[in-house]
Amino acid sequence: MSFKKQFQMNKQILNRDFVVRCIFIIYLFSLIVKYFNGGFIHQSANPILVYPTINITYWLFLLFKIPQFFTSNFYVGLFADLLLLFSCISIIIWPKKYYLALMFTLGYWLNYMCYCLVNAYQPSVYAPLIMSIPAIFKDATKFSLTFWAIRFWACFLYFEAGFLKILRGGIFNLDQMTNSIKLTISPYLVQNPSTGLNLDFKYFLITNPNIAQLLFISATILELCFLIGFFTRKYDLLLLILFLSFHIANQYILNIPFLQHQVLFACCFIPWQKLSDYVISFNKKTIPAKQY
Amino acid sequence: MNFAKYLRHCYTHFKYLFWMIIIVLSGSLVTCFVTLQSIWPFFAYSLYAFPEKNEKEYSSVEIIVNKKPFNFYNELPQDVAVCLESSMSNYIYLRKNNFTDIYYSKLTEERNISIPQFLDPIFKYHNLSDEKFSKWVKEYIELHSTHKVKSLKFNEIYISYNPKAEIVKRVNVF
Repeated sequence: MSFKKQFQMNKQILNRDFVVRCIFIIYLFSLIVKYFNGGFIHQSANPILVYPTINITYWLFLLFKIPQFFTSNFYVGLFADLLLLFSCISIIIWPKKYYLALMFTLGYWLNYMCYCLVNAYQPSVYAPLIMSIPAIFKDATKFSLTFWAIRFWACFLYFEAGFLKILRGGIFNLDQMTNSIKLTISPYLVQNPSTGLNLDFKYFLITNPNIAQLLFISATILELCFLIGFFTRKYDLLLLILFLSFHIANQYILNIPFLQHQVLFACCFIPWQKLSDYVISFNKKTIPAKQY
Repeated sequence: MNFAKYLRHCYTHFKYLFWMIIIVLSGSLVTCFVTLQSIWPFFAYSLYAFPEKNEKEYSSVEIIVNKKPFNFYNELPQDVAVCLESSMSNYIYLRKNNFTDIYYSKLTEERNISIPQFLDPIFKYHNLSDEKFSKWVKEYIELHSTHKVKSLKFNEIYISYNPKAEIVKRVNVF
């Protein structure tokens, strides 16, 4: 390999252990939120309905009766949940143990399939399913390349979401935002007759479809901005801000949960190189060198 | 680093990943632009991409626990409340069809597609009953709240906006 190529490649290689630790700390946080939202397998109380959806991966899991087996027995579910939690904490302590990452990834896929079984199919909560995959690779180069692949993937997904809103016509429907709010949170609104800033804002959008639609168009433009990510990483911090704004607004307006799922995609836009350099230099300053 | 440069690096250092990216990307593009209506790609973020119709009424469910309306969106964690509502709506749909209808036919009719028959054993219900379903709801509520459920009643409700959301019709399910 030429010197120039080697140099370019070195710039893309991340501090594996540092990044893995940080990603799994975010995982741990999201798992805690998930627990308090009843998203663990043992919290499903042996569901008797199967939510069907047209997705081949989900069908395969159902066909082999894997989620049904884990949700049908409280202790089996609890064991799977504990294993997931244990592997998450272990990776934070031992980031080099790649088999723990493999165990965690399999565990999370299982958890997700069981979650779909009881909690309706969620097509938009897959960030935790793929964010742990880079940690399976021990080698820093392979880890970094897989990590960047996920980053490009995240950019593609958000850009695609904006593009589909144009292609499928959602953006041209003048009542799209108002109807989406009504469709998503009607029972929530009925059960909350009192007023409050959050509720007032929701009603404001329902009664002002033009302003609501303007918000929908802004969200579409915001999603389209993720195309920048394909050309440069210079604006990743901006993309991170856009990403957080988009999901916080979604949570606030449409009650779409964020912290237990998609929050993991934030990892894609964090300036890891700068952050790890800063942490290393900070450690060097604060921890004196050993005296021999 | 732009995507083209990244792919070049990938091809040099990690060929398996390179081919994986090519396959996944082309698969996603096909599902996004050709089959999104029929087969949902696993990795697609297409919420609210299709125009939402104007509806006069929105149907939902009401649970009466111990003879009092149970505000599950206030008293349960958000995901649990969503799950309860979704499961109950689906159960009401099944019940309306005397459990004879295959659960996924609603989806297949909406999207005008056919589903392979080998999936029938997964989605066909044979022993579903009100007792079994209410037993699960009872256990689920008790697991996630402090309520002791002695009696349980389900209503299908229709919500209208005037301009605030209000229940305009109630139909007792059981």
